[in-house]
Amino acid sequence: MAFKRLSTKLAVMYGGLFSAALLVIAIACYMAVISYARVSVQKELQANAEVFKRIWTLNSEALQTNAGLLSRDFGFKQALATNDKATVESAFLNLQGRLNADAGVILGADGQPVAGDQSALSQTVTSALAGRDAWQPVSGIVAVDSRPWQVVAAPVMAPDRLGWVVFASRLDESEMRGMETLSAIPIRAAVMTQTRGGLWQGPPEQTRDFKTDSLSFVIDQSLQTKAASMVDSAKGSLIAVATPLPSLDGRQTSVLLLTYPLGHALKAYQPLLTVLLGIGTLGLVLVVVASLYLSRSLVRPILALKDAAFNLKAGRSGQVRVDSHDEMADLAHAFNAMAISIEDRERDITRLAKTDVATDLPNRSAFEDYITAMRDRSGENGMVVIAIGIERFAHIRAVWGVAYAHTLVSRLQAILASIFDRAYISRLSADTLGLTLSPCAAEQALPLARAIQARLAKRIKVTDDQSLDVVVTLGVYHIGTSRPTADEMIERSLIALDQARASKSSIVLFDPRIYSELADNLLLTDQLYAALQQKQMEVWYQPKFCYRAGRITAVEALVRWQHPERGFVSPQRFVRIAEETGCIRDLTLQVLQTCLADQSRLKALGIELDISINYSGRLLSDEQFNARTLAMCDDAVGGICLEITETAVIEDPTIGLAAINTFVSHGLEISIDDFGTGLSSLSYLKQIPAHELKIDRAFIMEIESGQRDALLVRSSIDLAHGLGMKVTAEGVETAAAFGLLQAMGCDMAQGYGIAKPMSFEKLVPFIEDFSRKGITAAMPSLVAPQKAAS
Amino acid sequence: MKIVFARLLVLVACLFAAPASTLAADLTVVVTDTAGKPVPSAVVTFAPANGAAIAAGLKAGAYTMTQKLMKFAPYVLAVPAGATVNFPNQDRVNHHVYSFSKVQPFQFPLYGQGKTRTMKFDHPGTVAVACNIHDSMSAYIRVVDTPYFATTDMSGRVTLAGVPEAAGRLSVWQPMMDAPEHSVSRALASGKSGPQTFAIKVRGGALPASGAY
Repeated sequence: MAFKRLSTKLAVMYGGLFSAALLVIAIACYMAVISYARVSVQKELQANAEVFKRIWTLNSEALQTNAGLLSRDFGFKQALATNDKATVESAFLNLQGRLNADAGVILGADGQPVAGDQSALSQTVTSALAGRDAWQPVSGIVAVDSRPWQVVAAPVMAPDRLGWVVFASRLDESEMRGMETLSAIPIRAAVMTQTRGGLWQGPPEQTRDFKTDSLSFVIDQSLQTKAASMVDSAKGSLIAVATPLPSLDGRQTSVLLLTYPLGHALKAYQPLLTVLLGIGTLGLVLVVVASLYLSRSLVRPILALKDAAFNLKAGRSGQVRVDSHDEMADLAHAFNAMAISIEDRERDITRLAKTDVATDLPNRSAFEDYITAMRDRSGENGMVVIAIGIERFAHIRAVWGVAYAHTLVSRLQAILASIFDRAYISRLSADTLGLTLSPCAAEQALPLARAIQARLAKRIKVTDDQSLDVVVTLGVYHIGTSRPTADEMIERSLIALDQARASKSSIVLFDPRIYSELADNLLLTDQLYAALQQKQMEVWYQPKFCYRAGRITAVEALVRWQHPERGFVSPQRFVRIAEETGCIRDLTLQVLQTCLADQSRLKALGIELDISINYSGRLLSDEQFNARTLAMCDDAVGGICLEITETAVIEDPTIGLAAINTFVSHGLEISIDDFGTGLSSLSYLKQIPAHELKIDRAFIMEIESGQRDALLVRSSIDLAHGLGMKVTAEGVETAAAFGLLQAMGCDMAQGYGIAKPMSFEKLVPFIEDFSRKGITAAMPSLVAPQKAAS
Repeated sequence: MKIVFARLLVLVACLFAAPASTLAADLTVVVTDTAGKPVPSAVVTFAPANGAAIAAGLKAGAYTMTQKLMKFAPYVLAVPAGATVNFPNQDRVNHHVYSFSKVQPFQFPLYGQGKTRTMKFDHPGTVAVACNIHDSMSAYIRVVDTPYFATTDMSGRVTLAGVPEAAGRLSVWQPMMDAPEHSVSRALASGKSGPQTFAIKVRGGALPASGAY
């Protein structure tokens, strides 16, 4: 049995044990009482049986005496001997009347009835006496149809036996009742006779309450054990004793069955049993109550300990009240001591976990806890989280020492705390303080940030003898109704701080769009990988017009990415990601392979074009990749030009220049891309053995309107020519620009005015169309103004 | 053997003075119960097949059933048919002797000391005799129709003298015998001699040897 509660278990076990013991005692008492009652009733019954038998003996002796008198009467003998029936009968009737016997019969010498009763009784007696060779009077019980008779028979001797004088008394109900009145206790008597089958039968009116077979069994048992037995009857259990009675013929046996109701026998013991039951019940109640009390008192300290342990587990105080002096008290004391030390340690751990050890300020974790706690209470106005970055903190630490730097942080916190007493300030990282204010409306966020900045922009007295000018940058994040997690809120304020630093602003409000773009970049990176794997990148070509040849002599290969979901993705965006993640290798390889294949196909169509390919500066330092590029370009059927920005070279000039020189030695052309936008350095321009200079579109777009731009372009063309390079102008869109550039001696023009980038499929008809029609037919818009100008 | 036989013959002739018409001899019979104990008061008779007349002298013999010390003596008296039995009373008290036997019912109402009564028994059979006023007194008179009869003594032995060596029937009667008519018999072939033994079943275990009851 499984108990959920120890107290129940103890109570049930103790109570059950005691109850079982009480029950056993009660049963034993009851059995003893029954046994004792049965024994005493048995003795009483046996004594009564003896009395009954004695009375019957006396009765039968009286009958016998009279029967004997008759049997010895000479006149009677003579009458019987001479077969004088009338005399015999009269003598018999005379005596029977005197004796008041129920029945009687005279048997002749041949054993047959001569006078008296002629019923079944006389037949039964006749057959019973036939076998008896008696010279003396005999007596016994004879049953006729289960009804017992007490029979005496005296032989008539003269001197041989002339016959029998027989008298019989009914042992009927009234006889039994008469006997029963002799007894001190209300017993019932019945004479039972055994039938040939072994069953015992008696008068129906005396045995109707019994089942014949069970009664017979009980009689046999009682005869065998000479003791009382229990028998069930219609009137409840009875105590029964069977005593054998003499039979007339020595064969048919009879017993005297005396019964006494068990209920009567137990009646005398009823008070005793009642008292026993009462004592037992009272004892049981006391035992149960005592068991409950005992188990409760045993279990109570255990329960207290359990509750304390659960409290401790849940982080609450887990002290146990001790009000005893036993082992449980020792345990409780030990538990209390343990709980206190655990609480102490937990406090230390919590303090360490939530505190910046150096400054004793709350750390980021504590800041999160505070925001979490305040977040749902901020109401409609929302709350603000501001990340305050201390600029040049590393520098300060390096110059003034770590302790000084920490003191500075503490000072800043103290200043802010003194102004904004409702704000919660913590140290998010070494050089960043976090401040949160709740509630704070959205329009108050920036003024708050400005106030902070204004206060901290002053000269801060760090120690008594040292002060410092501090510059702080603030990232501000305000939340209204949305409820991001505390961690996200802090992170967004930090992102705003990063944005501020990147944009050199002193205060920046968190911009969800930029945030989502940053998040999107990660996704895009994955998609870029997938696109490269699946060769989703297409190469488009923008034609370059050669002024001297008057036709399209080259194209610039431009990568295009049409994403199935995003649609067109800006090359500026994904190329930057490709450069950052290293995908630029695969991207460049794919473009290179496509270009080489397309160049072959063009040549097969009779079109010879040089192809320019953008070559990232990051690839220049990868010698392995450079070698691969060279190997591929060796098989080119036409001219291949690699467009490289100046800055690429500037980052690592030695390797960059070496790579460029190798390319050049292998017959590849080098183009300096986006000339004029980067940090152009004449010294590098001198060193790079480029074949071409591409002037950035920013200059060309302004060439018509800006005098200075036109001058710069002209100078650049001259400079390039001076250094032995061709010049290509990018962003040529108008006829004016086209004409000006031609006038300036520009070698080639590229831009929407010539043609937009197009797919290979469109490039072929475009070139064919262009070469057939010539520039004037193909590009009337460019050529017409020139004509007008000239 | 012949000498012995001759002596016996002389003895019998002297005793009974009977004419030795045929060859005759003594016949010894022993009666015991089934346990081998001798049975007294048993009447042994031999009836020749061809009959035997009872001599007048034998009938006229003195047969007495005395009442003495509140008893009949003897308990069993064998007499030949036609014999007369005396019933003298030697007790101080009176007796009322009677019999309801079919053979010869009679009664002698009270008679005193020194007095006697007589009764002639002509028919063979058993006569049970009792005293009306003394229930314990009983006796039997066995009336036989053959001259060869005797009553066993306490040793259960009897000798029939002068029994002819002819075929016949040898019978034993005893009042307590458990047999039809309290009697058993067997046929003896002619010339058969030598002792005969009977083992009879006697009722009631103890015999009322002295006429008790």
